[in-house]
Amino acid sequence: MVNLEAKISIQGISKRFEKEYVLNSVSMEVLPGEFRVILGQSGTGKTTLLNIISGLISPDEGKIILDGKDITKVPTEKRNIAYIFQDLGLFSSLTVKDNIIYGLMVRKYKSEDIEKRLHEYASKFGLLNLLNKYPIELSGGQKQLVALARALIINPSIILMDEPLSSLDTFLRNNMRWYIKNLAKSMNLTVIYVTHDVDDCAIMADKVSVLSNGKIVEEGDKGEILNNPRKEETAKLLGYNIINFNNSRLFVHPSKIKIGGNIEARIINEERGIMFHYLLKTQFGEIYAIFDRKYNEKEGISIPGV
Amino acid sequence: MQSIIQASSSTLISLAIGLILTVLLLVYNGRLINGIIAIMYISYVMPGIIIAISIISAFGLQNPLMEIILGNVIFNAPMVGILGYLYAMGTNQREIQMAKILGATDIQLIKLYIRNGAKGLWIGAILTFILCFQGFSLPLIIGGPEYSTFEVLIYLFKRTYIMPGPFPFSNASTMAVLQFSILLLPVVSYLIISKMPSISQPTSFKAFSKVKSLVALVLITIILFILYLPLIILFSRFPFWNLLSILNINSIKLALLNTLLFSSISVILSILLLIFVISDISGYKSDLIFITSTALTPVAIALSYFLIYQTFLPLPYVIILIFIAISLPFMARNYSDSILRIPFSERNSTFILGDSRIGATIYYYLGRIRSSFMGIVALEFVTIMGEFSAIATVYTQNTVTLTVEIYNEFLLRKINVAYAISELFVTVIFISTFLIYLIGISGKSGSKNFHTRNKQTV
Repeated sequence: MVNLEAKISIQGISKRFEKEYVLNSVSMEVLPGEFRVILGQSGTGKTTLLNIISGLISPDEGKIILDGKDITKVPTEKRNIAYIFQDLGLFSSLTVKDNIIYGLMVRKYKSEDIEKRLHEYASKFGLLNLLNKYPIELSGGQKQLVALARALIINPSIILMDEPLSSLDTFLRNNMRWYIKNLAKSMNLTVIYVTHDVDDCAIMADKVSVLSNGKIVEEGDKGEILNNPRKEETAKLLGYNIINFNNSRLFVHPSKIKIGGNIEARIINEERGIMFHYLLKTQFGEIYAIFDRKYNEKEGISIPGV
Repeated sequence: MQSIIQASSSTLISLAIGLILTVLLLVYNGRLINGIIAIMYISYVMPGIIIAISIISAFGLQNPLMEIILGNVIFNAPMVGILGYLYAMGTNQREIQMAKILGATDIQLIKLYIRNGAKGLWIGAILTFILCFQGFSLPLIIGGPEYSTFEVLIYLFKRTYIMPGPFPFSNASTMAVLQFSILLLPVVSYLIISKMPSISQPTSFKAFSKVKSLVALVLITIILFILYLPLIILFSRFPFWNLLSILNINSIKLALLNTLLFSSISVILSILLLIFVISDISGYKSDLIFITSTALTPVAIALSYFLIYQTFLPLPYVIILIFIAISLPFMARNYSDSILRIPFSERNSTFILGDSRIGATIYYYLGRIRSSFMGIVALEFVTIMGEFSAIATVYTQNTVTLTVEIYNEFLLRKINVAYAISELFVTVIFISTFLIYLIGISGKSGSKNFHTRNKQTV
């Protein structure tokens, strides 16, 4: 059943390379204006899924429905999709201006319209002074802005982003997360953003799909997935400890483990950052704990719920 | 049998010299490396007939088999060396640095490099075998009937048969099919080897000491000097300053004009076909087309085109078609190789933004790879200019080209005129390629004419 309200509906997409499934019957629906983050470790098929949505590669099975139309066999250039690659894919031999207007030129916009839109988007992204520069002359953050301007100026139906912030330093990365989130909300953009970074997800996502071994293992609102993971794959991705207790498996976040209690723990590794990080050996196996002060083995630990 | 003897021995010797050159280039790897590689490419773009005439100018006609093998080695050994070096340089430089830190000797470092370079050496060796197996100019000019390869036999069969009249197609085609079948074996090997993974991102790292580097440079110079000695001797046979005087001979003037005309038209049509028809072919497919088409030898192609089209097309058109059929796959392969060097994301951003394959080719790719594209065009131009076996199979008095003219003068025992035309030919090749190079660096393709699209200015 196709959800008629969905902006994009991905139905049973499978893809094999050689004999191995990279994607195995992946389905999801993204509503208009939704910021969907696909969270998964490296090699789980995230980029392959975006490449299939964009038409750069064809699926072995399944359909892609965009705005109610089946685009599975529509060529990439006719899909009206924007795609921001991990390395951005800026045209290195074109200026910033030519990069931004490329999509308008191929759509045969009139020159006055191109000029108007160029001015509008260059102003919006603070690029007016950089229009005659080449990508190699820009900083990492400026390149991100050019890629965003180039992607959005064509009014795409949907925007795909493949970990575009991964090459930025921590400070800039955090700024860009909020920038993209606000931009998406103010322009009511439908975005599919793939990442392995939980912080990207925590800041930008409306809904999250967790991809593991080519399958969507969990899907839901951001708060629900990040705070109460139901699947082991999601819990691992979020840094939870998996503990075997009374024939059941518990997911315990490192920060939830408390100093003081009757569980004996031996310190295997200790690291100090803003907090104290420990790898502890316990009767439940090895667990990772975060404390706000130095921990002494004799104090023992407690695990809420155990 | 001659095809196999000549191809096997030439391949073995070319592989040995190519390996030595690869190692020396790796040890040298200095500032002049691009210049050295450019010099090594000279023999590769040199037509076989010029190498044959050069060998005769240097050694006369004493031991045909040895001279044919020498000609093949001059033609192929530098190419094997370049391929080995380029693949070896794909070695991750961190591996080399780590090996040095762990105390590896120079020989162990070279072994590390060669492990990656081996693929290039094998590819070079297979191409050498294919090219020598279908050898034409050297066995025809230096050898004589007892040294004839398949190509020469098919050619001689055609030349001795008087046209028009029903052509006894079966004999020639049997030879062509047999030749093609034998060549499929190295073709399949090539495809298997070229599918193996290799090449990481090379960085500049000097792995060997300055003294060793200098010694390697001297050795490279000596080897190249020895290899190119016949070409150098050729230029001493006919006074260079008298070269223009031979243009007064009408047949040579006609040959020069025909050569330039056929080459230019074929190149232009090939470029158009490349852009509008085959720009969408993926790297592996174009490799497949390229290597399979090398098994279809020029004489076989020329003969089949001639038999099919000569009844309803004027001969100059047929010749142009033959030239395109011979050279286009090679051009397409080099072109797709250049396109694939553009990062995946940048390459595909054109389509994401709504451009078509042809649009992206015309308005972005050609500008992006402008310098290498002009190199490809120059190589195509030189290849067609130097084409001998195909044109020799089908030419008439009015469609003589320079290479055929050289051969005709040689048959008429006017050896000095043959030397002179060879010198003229080499000079024309250098001037033409230099002009194409100039057009390449000053042209307006790609980014510079981006604004002219749809006649709009922003």
